[in-house]
Amino acid sequence: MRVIIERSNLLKSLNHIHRVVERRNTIPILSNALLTAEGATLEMKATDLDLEMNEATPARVEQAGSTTVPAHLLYDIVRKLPDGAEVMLKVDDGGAAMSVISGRTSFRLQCLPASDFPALSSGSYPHIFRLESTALKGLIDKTQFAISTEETRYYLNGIYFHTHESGGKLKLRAVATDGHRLARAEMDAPAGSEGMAGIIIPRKTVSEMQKLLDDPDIAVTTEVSESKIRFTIGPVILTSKLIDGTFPDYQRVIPANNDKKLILDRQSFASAVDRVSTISSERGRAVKLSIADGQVTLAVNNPDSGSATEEVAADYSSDPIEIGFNAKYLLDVAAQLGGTEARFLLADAGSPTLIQDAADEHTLYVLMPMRV
Amino acid sequence: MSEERLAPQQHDSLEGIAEPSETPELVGHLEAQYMLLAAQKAGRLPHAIVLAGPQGIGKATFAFAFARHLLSGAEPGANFEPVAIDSPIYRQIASGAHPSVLHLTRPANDKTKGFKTVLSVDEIRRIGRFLSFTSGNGSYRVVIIDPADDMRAAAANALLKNLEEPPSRTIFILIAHSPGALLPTIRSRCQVIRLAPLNDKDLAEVLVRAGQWPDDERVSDALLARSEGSARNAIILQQYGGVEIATALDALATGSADIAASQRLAEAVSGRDSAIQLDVFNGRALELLANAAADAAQSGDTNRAKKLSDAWHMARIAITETATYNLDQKQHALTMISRLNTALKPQSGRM
Repeated sequence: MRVIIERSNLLKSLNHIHRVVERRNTIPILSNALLTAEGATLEMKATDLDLEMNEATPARVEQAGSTTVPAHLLYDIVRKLPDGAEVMLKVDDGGAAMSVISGRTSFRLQCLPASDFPALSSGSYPHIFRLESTALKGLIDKTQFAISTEETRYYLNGIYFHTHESGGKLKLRAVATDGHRLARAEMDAPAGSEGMAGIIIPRKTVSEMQKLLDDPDIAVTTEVSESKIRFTIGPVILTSKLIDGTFPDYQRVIPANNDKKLILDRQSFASAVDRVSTISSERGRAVKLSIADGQVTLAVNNPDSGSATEEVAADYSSDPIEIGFNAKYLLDVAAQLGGTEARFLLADAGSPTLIQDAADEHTLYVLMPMRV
Repeated sequence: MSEERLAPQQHDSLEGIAEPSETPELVGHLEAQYMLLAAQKAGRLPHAIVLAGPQGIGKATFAFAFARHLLSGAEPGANFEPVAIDSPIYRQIASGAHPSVLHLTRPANDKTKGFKTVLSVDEIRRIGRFLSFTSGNGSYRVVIIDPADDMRAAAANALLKNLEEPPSRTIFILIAHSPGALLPTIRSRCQVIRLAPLNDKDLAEVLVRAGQWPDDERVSDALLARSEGSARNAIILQQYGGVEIATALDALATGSADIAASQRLAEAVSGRDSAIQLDVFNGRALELLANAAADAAQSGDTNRAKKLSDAWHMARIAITETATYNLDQKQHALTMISRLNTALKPQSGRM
């Protein structure tokens, strides 16, 4: 293998794929990235056995071929090369080492054979559909924060993507929950997603997707099979295993008959929650909301250090109610809402509360209250 | 064997000998292969099996051969299809980089640069994470616990959790040198497959393939006779002067007290780098007592059998204590020789 490639192109691709590689690896081949030179591209691939990222970048291929070299090492080398340089990657005849040559700098890296590199992306994908990157990013951003980290309930360690018929239209829905809060976002289902079984996309894949989707307005091709999902985002192909489990029937926890409607200015509410929760240093601190006509009083009480209250104007006309929430969860939701007005639908102090952006019908959040 | 090594080193690796995961062909154990393949053909593959049998007869090699067979998608025939050593499936499984195989052994100990003495509960917990993901290509997921004897109670209970609710298309392979010591709750959830010690022909074949077959016919006969069908035993005997140690111990245990020879033997097994020699010595000592006890019991001399059996227990305790408290190995060896000598002395008269 012998290729010449611009340092900036190489760095951009390596920047993406090297994140997939675990830092501490007992299995040597998994610390490596697979480089394949063919035609006019250099393809780079990295995996942690659950997730695989593949990126092609233009290069001058003088001799086709493939090899694997330590991913983090190659990234660090390329990162430190001067901007605008050209890099030559050359595998020695024996295939035991690869030279990285740029200007007067030259490295020799030990290689492992390309045939040892695990393959994840092969196989057939019965469902194929295309999405705008901003739409997909929207679904992920709005739900990602609610993903559980609890390993015993592994089926909550991801975002549940599925199609759902609502109001005569097929929707593509993303749902995440950790048992205390739930986030649901939806959009019109793209063509090709009909009949797709629900899938759970693991957390690590979700966070890699978030980073890749930062460039706006690219069409993302999504391919789904029973056990895998593959996203093609421009030159990057991300293939991931799915979580092998059944997502719980989340519909049952979304309250339908909450009749006490509270409308708040999102920004001032979020700042108020942030301020009053300062008094309590522990995590999982509760904020008590005393809701009466036209006004919400936020109160936090910490027996060790004192207490705090703040009043926020609100649009409310039902019976007065007192309810407690975890301050961090309120802040997370408020940060996701985006619009100017937040709408709360409450039932009583012990029942889940529905929170929505008053201007966005596609996204909803459910919060379980805390006893205060 | 092969000049290039794929598999990472393990706590029980022998120098220059291929790990089970990188041994491409399985020798012997035809019946067990046939049985599993018949079950697969009938669609009744158990979700968990225990491969039971003495150490060194190819249980782990069997497990990996079975994993390769399952994941290659080959039609079940009469025995596991051997795989080419340049095929991706062989190379990925051997190097531990196959997405559908989880091989759990004693983990590396970062503090001592060696290996931990048990298969820790943290390692077992990796199963939950492994099984929470789909297999990637819809194939089987294979969890190999090598060996299950290395699990303490906490680890065994953690494993039990996974065995109780096995997801579909998953097979647990537990390797057990002494299946009786497994938790009954684990055993009852697995199908126990007993692998017999290798016969002389198979053992010879394994040793030839491993490049461990002695040229001298007398040596090779002695090796087959003393290895008890275990390739590992044979290699240890061969490489670490095991035959000499065992012969010397046999002579000292039954003959008259020869202080110079006892000192020489104790010296040989008690050095800093002679952990394997000491193992051979201890193993042979226990074996002598066990054999003598069995002989006595068979000839109806229960009194003597009881005495020998007690001596066996005492010897075992002494061995464990020497290891646990890091006692002087040479003194341990000398005591052991005299212990054997006393226990094995033919009885002068009936009581």
